[in-house]
Amino acid sequence: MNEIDPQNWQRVKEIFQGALERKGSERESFLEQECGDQTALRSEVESLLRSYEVAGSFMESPAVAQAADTLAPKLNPGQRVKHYQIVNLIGEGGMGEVYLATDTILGRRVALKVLPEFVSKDPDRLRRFTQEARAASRLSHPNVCVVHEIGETDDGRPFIAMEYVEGMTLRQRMKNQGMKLGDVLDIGIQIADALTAAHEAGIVHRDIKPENIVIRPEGYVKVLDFGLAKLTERHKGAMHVTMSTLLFDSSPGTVIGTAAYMSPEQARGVAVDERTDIWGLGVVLYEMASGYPPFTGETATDVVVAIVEREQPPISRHVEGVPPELERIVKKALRKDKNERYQIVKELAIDLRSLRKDLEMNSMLDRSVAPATGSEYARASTGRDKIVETDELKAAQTTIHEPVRSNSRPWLAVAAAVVIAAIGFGVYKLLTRSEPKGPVPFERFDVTKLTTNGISLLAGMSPDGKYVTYVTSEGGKSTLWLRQVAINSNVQLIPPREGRYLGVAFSPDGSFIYFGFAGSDRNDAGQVYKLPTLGIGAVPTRIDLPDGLPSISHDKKRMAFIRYDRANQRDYLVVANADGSGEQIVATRNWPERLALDLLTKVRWTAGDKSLLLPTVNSAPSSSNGISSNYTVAIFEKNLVSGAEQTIPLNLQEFDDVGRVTVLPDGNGIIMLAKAYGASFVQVWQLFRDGSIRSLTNDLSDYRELSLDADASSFVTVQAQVVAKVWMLPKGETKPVAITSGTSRYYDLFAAPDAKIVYASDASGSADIFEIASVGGSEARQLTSEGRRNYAPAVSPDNRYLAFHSNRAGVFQIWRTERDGTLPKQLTFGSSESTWPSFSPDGKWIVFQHFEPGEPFSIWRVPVEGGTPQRITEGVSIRPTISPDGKLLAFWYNDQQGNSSWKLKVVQFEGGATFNVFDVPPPVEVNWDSPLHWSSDGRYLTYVDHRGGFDNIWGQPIEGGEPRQLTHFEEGKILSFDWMKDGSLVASRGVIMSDVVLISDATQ
Amino acid sequence: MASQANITELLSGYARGDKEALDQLMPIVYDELRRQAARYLRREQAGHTLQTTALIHEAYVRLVDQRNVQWQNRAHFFGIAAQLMRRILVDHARTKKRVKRGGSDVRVSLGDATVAVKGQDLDVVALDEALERLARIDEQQSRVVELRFFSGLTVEETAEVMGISKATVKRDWSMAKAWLHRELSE
Repeated sequence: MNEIDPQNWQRVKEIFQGALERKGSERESFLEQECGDQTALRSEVESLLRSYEVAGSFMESPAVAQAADTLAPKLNPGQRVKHYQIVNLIGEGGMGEVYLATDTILGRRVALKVLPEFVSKDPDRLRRFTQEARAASRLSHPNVCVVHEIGETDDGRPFIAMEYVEGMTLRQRMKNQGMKLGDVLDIGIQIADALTAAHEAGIVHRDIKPENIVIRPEGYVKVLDFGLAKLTERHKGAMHVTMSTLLFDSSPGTVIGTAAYMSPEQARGVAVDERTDIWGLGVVLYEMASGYPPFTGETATDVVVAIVEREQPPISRHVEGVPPELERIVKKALRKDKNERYQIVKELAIDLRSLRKDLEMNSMLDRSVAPATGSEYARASTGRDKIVETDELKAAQTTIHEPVRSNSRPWLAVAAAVVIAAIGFGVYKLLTRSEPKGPVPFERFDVTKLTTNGISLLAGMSPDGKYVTYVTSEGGKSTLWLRQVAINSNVQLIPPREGRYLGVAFSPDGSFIYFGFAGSDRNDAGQVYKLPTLGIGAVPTRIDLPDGLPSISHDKKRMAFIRYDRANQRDYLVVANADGSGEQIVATRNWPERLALDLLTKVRWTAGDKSLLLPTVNSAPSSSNGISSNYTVAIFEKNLVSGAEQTIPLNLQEFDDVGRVTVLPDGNGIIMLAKAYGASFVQVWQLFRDGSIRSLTNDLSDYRELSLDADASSFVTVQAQVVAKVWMLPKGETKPVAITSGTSRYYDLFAAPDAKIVYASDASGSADIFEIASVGGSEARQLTSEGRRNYAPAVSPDNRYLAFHSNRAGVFQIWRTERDGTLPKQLTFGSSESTWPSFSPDGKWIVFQHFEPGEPFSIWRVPVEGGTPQRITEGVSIRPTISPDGKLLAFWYNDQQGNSSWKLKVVQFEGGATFNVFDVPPPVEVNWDSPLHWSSDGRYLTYVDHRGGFDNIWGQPIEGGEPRQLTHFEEGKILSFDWMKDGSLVASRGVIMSDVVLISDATQ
Repeated sequence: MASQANITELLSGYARGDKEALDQLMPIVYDELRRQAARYLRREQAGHTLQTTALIHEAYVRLVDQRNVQWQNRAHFFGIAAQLMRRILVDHARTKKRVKRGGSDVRVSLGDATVAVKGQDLDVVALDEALERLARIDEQQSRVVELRFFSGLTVEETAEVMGISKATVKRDWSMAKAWLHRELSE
């Protein structure tokens, strides 16, 4: 450690920076002149200069990239854990992630809880947990969540496959709705029943809290995670505090976690038995009834102190009208001394039941006790697990014509109703809202592709549904079109011109088309113009459109629109007279809550013009449920007569990206574009007031527009796909032939000796290695399926082995398998990454690039059969490739000197002597994804250059001279390429195909 | 709570030194970082979001789509992001070290982060400590490192956020890199 002298520092800095700009003798004399005889100063500067020379890529890749694995979900949709296939992430927290998954053997859906690696490295403990969880499952009690399997993922994390329970956690239930006395008792009784069964079998739960209790839509309560606490307790002798407590405990800004539900004996770290669960139930009852946990504090320590020492305030301190009997029951469950508590949970259940019976006689069950705890309280909540109402399993396979209707129940809409489902007890009182259900819009629908040109970007539909306006774009020029739907006629409204359209829409009466247009300069924010719909040949006029498009009331007297206050990031809902006078702001929302995501958002007038309906979108993470959620979508209803407003949240499913949110005319739901959390593609979704959610589309493309006609009988959207194909250009020919037909993303092409093309594709979520025949258009064959991310395949010259880099063991390392992907063998180890393998032509070595912290990327080699890697290069060097004759090694090279430009370096494979170094002319951008290959005759080093505006392959003659353009493509992007032995080229080239699609409701 | 509050107010609150505003911003920033991280893993280009094609989309922004937020606030945002990122990484690395030593006292200080070990990280704990020392002598250089390394900003963005020239950012970066590298190699 160097102590820094502040005065010296400034001086060192100046000289260091000055020296860096100079080289060789110039630098030498600069140092001489600046430092003179101050040897200490000079040696400090020189030491820093030396450090700079060797620092290489040190800190050059941002921490976000490095932390990606830490921060992002670990399993992707489609990925497998044993025979479970991940559908999506439904919750996560300190105790790992929970996924909805398909059991591919039994064809049922399961909740897959994947625990953190660090939870248990103790096989004994894991075994005890397994025993207990299995024992609990064998109870087959209706209130106990069934555990199907306990196992370990390939990377060594324990997982639990359990019954997938649809519904919401008690935490969410308390937050979203007020609790009626009936609810409190009913839920409490069912928990008590579950515990009774468990305790009789000798199983203690140890971690009863609202997050571990799920309430199904029809009212069943399921208690989750029996025995799990056993896995997470700390070692004997220490406090019996669960791991999640520790996680929450030290998390800044989060008030306490499981600490609030600990029993005094758990807090003290003494032996725990069934009576700890009785305490836990007491806490849950207290919280359900009062809306507050009984023991609180600023920090976890304070809470623990309260639990051990303080008497909880009576429930009546928080709410009125609590029956004294409930106070007594809760108080008895919350005795500090476990010998004074209920001794068996059955007694508690009996007391709750008789209380309910008494109250029923007096019709007191409908009495509201705790109000919805709402967001304010939610901050203190500890909800980590989350069960989401999700689509039926078949969602994943649904075709576009059969949207999936989730069967969730009107949870969010029944705040006024009491749901009592007395399981295993005589009383049934089910007061759900009557549901006069008309046909659901787009229950069935027809799909018509309006364009097939692949270059249609934006689309809008006229209110009468007769016209569609859309934009095509080609070669930097954009064109505005009008299509008459019924007769399939297309008219060019504005001929092709330089620039880009920012959006298109019809005016509310359909007589005008509005569009935003900006020049080709990326900094041009653009202007709004209008054009008469049927005034073909008319000149667009520029208009000022500061607000969203207005909606006219049914009586035509008023209009409503959204105004955005940019300075304050605030949205206003504005009502005005039809002539624009008498403006009045009727509602306001602050970012991150918004009344409109864009200026196309429609405000709807209800029949009689009493209320306005519009969507609100909240893009902030809801810390309440512990999920870093993305977008919460709601219907906002403003009664213009009474002034009352209501926000009806619609989604429990998390969305990564949301757009074009539109309230359906009946006000019963919305339709929107959204990307489900962890999914790869934006789809069309419908969300209803009763809480059901479904995706209308379900395919491997992104949807980009959503414009409905006035009565929502049809809408247009734009379907966009990255259509990457693998092409082959036979030697001597000029016309490439596609050898794949898919819409996949093909990366890292490698032409194998058997003339197969091996590649990596991550279109399905995980990244795997595939192969396809170079002729004949056969099906692709998947070679890896171990999950995680597998990239950069290479095949040995004798066609025996496949090598690639994979992070299946944590860090990207070089793996080798048999040619068919079997018998994986890890060739490189350690905590630093080794990537981009390439076989030497004699089949003895695999060269690869390696990144060691604090060192530049360097190239190493390892024997194919395994052994100690040897370093080959100094200086930043990436993407090694060996010449066909096995003599030369080429790679991208950066000497980190001066302006640090990339070079192509060729060295002798044996000995490492430099053979040649070439400058790489701009605009070639070198990064990890820059393929570098020898031509099959070994005369050129080939790479992708965008010179001339199109991606093409260029070759640098290795004997020297100017690079030569080898292909003459005039479209598309080259994702990857390689040369076959006979000199044919294979390349993965992609374009975005984007077309307008009309979806019409066929329900009626 | 944060989701109800105006982000601009929170940012200016933070600028005034309001500790609570920072606590409320953290989850938002953290969420954004997760999103970025997920994109990185999917090999996805950032920027293709649904919000980018509205009529005149520029008026409606997401937190990271900063065109609309005053520069002052943008700087704060990235400042927070950088701090948070640093905290996450350092905590994570500390935990990892502790686990390696076999201690039972496993603590992870992030409620939301389920920590997986990605081993290629440089020694962020040592980097963090060295950065502390650097901050004492040259605050600007340490901020450059925080923004560039922890928040992932380019030279241009760093210059804009800090209100200094690109050349200065480059010079500070080179010097800090040399100095930190030497600190960590010793």
